[in-house]
Amino acid sequence: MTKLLEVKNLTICYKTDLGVVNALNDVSISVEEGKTFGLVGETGAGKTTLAKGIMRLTPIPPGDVKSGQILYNGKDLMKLEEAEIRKIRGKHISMIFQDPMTSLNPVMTVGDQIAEVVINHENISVKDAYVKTNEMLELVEIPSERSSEYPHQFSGGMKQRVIIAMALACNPKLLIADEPTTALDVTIQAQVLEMMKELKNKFNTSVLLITHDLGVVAQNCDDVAVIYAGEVVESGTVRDIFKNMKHPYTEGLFASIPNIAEDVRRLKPIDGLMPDPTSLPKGCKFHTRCKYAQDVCRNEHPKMTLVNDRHIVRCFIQENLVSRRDIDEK
Amino acid sequence: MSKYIIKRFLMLIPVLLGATFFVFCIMDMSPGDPAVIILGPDASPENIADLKVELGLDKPLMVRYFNFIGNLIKGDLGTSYKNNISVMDQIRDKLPNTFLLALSGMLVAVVVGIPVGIISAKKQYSVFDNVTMVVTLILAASPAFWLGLMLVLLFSLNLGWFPSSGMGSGFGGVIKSLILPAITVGSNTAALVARMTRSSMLEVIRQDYIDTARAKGLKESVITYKHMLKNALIPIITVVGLQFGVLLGGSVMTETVFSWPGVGRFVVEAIKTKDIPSVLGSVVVLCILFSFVNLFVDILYAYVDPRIKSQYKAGRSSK
Repeated sequence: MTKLLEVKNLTICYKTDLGVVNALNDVSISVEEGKTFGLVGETGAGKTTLAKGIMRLTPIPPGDVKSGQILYNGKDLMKLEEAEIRKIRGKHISMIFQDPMTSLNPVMTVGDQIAEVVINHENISVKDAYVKTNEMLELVEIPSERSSEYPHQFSGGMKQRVIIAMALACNPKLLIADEPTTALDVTIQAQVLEMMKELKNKFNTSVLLITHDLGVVAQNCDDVAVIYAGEVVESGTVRDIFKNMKHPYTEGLFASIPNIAEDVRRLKPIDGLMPDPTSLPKGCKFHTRCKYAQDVCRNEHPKMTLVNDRHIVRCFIQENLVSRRDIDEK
Repeated sequence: MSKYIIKRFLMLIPVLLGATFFVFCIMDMSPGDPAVIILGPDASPENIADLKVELGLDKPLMVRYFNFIGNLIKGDLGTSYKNNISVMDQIRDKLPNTFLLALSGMLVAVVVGIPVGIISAKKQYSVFDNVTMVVTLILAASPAFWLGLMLVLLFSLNLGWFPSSGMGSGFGGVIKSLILPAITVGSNTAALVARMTRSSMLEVIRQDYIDTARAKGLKESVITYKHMLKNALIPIITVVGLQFGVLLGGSVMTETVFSWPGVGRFVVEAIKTKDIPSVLGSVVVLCILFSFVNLFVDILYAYVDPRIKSQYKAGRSSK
């Protein structure tokens, strides 16, 4: 399988009055062609920073891209001129944002907004661009007559479909979907995800799906990375992560999902909160909340360790420096 | 939409009644008898009493007010006490000059204010931004009579580039005499427009749809003008519209400093001589103009923001 996108050691921080926010620390992921890659993590873990970082949309200042490479088809996007990266955005890599309510320009018709990206990238007449626009709208099951309407005349789910049509209008190789269904209610979520899946197969688009919903990951992704405090803690295939999870944080995530089949009185959330990104703890970033934490976790930073050829985890348990038994006996 | 416009025109009636009644009462309560002012301090009491009857000033306030309204409906604003010329004719002579001054002031304000505001917002906290914010604060705070005099001092008396007062003849002459007053009335508004543009742009700049536009690979200039400015325009139009109304009626200071033959100076003269019909006539005309400008601005909103248009259509407008 060829790697379409490879992010290597990306570190991004934000400089604020309260200190430096270390949003992403040395993150590496890779998305294979035609596959869906899921990125899971809780609020503030750095998911959106990564998505914007790949598109080079990190607001600078306060953002600062400290190091890293973003290889798209082997080409480093970090080294491109502004004019060159503009040709990538929307044409090769496009993005769907979290909140459809605010992601469309309220004073432009949806047709104009879709046609704009087509006119910008494709060498075709304005008339043909609008023909293409109508095709895209029909594809996401919105009647093309409505292309002259404004965003406020559409419902939330329809707006997200308009955004999907806009993102796919130039047939991009990679679609970055930043929590595309978080702002929608559950029935609409399923509908939008189903549509994304269909279109992905139709256009053979690779997808980087960012979410905090493990159910969404199970249904849509081939590979998964779990991100915590700006750091990838575990990654592998969906099967690896769901059936053979290694990191205590991943375990905690799964334990927090209510299981309808079991008779439990309370949910089991992970104790504590994610550390303040302006002052991340020394050692393993998760040790403050980890029930297995030992001295080594508090002082040393664990390396990525292979479980199998695809499955890697950042934990001392895997390095055999800490044992699970210590706590289980208590 | 047309229903909305008709409704707005009907709203003009109570506004005009209120404004004229207010001015009527103030003119009546303020000291000085018009008949005495016209005839001079040495006039005999009989002459003054005769003139009062002639002018209708012997009748009670409400009777005079309703007479005025009756005439107003017929399109008659009465004649000036001072020179017996129809008030309507005098205003008709002076209104174009006031309009010209207000329009040129507005032009200065928009041409300078909007670009400055945009650059300030895009380069927030830069040196340019900080300097313009201080300069606009000073301009917004400097009164027209002071600024006008300073401009006259510099450009007319020292450099001799422009005439210091009056209105020149011929196209070139008018333009030349228009520049200093236009800058005087416009600079205040330019400062307001620049500040409003800046804050309104700053609100838009961080919106999600701007990220969407960037993710489409659009050029920064397209994003600025097509996506940001159009969304930031409503508050700017509001300020421009209100200020235009203010400039129409309120360039009194500037017109006085530059002896500009406009309605503002006409009103000042009329108030000084207690020329009640002239004052009331001007108030009526300015009121109507102000309302028209506001109506025009409200209609313009609908063209800038489709959400407001559908509100007008649905008749849900609260105005």
